[in-house]
Amino acid sequence: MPVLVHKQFALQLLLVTPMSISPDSGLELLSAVQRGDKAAFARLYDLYSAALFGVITRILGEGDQAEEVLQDSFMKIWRSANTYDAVKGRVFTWMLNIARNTAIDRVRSADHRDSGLTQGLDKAVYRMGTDEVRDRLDHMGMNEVIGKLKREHQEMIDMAYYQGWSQQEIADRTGLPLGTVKSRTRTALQVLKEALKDYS
Amino acid sequence: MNSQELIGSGLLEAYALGQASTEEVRLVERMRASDPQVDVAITEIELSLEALARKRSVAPPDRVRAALLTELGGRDGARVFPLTRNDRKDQWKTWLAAASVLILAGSIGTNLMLYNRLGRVQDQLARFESEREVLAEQLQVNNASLEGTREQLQVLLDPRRKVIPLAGLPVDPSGSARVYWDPFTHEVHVNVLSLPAPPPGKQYQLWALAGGVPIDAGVFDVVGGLQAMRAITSAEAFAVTLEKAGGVPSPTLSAMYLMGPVG
Repeated sequence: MPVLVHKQFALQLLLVTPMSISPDSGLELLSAVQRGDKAAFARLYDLYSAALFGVITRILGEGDQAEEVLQDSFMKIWRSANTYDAVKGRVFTWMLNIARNTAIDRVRSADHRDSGLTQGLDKAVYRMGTDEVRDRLDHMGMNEVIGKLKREHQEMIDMAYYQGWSQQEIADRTGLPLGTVKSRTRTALQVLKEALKDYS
Repeated sequence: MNSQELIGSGLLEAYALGQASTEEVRLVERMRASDPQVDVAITEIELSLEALARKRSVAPPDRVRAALLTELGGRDGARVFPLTRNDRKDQWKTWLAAASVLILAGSIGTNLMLYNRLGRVQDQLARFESEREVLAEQLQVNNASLEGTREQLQVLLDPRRKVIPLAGLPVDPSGSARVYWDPFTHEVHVNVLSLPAPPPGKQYQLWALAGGVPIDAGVFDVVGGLQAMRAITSAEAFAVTLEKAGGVPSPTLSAMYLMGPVG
């Protein structure tokens, strides 16, 4: 009997694991883009632009700036496709990082501060928790997922991922010990993983 | 830092969030390239962030797409890059990861099975051990019993010993016993053949009669086998009286049950 249980356990392990190493669907498209295939690039845009724009608007708010940054990001993707290294991460992640960094650079540039859209990073973070954002999340059917995250975890992901703050910066700004920031970030991503699993 | 420590350290999360320092990024990338476990752990985190980004999708206006394609159209499209090695590298890595997961799963399964078997063997061993202890105790008891039997047999077979049959007296004519006496070593044993069980608080007492004087040879119980009594140096006869438990200094003649002369 116990032997049977172990076989089932091993089988489950095999069934579960492929999900965590699911094939990277962007890889093929990006390979084509590397060869200068514009159709593949358009397809890449169709597949990922909404996700990237979501990240960008979360950092910059909606508006001309966000659209510019999305366009910039995709130009960077086109231009630097050949520097992409699959060993260093998935295509989607690589693209997300480009969009995120471009948006964060924009926030940090004087250009953005002068535009008056936001008054620097603190305001941007403050915006995260506002009703306006929550309403928007509602429309996107996201509140369910985010609602499962404790506020502290949500903020940790927002500050790190959407504001681009280092763990030291988060510690300085929140007054939390660095160790707490580290462990809370880790927990936040674990909780997020679980919440998304339930959601999808 | 080994892979497990790295996975538990929170550094992979910082790396995926773009929070890691340049040296940390180098460390993570080095370990990711050499250890599929690290790669799987990072991919899991990346997938979470990708899923979050997907869930938070906001459709951009069509004009962005149009502007992009226009910008590309104005450029020379002949951007030829060699087919990446990354592709193959990645496939190779995926296979390696899959293979190691299989091996890991197999190994876990085997370990669990062996662990389970070990548990059963340990149980069995414990059972055998306690059985062995019981048997050892039994053996000791048997040895003691054998030793007693051998001693009794020695007494019975010793040709030097005198066997004195004690016969029932009028108090209880059916009584009978035997006394084995060694006149040289002065050892005395009594073997009860038939005597009524003594009432509570009473015991039978053996006496040796030497020169008409009763000498206390000790009390005994109504049980089978030989019972060792006190040493007696000389005797013409042995007698048994019923006395209070523990014995008395001089016999109660009215309660004399057995008597027999030394032949």
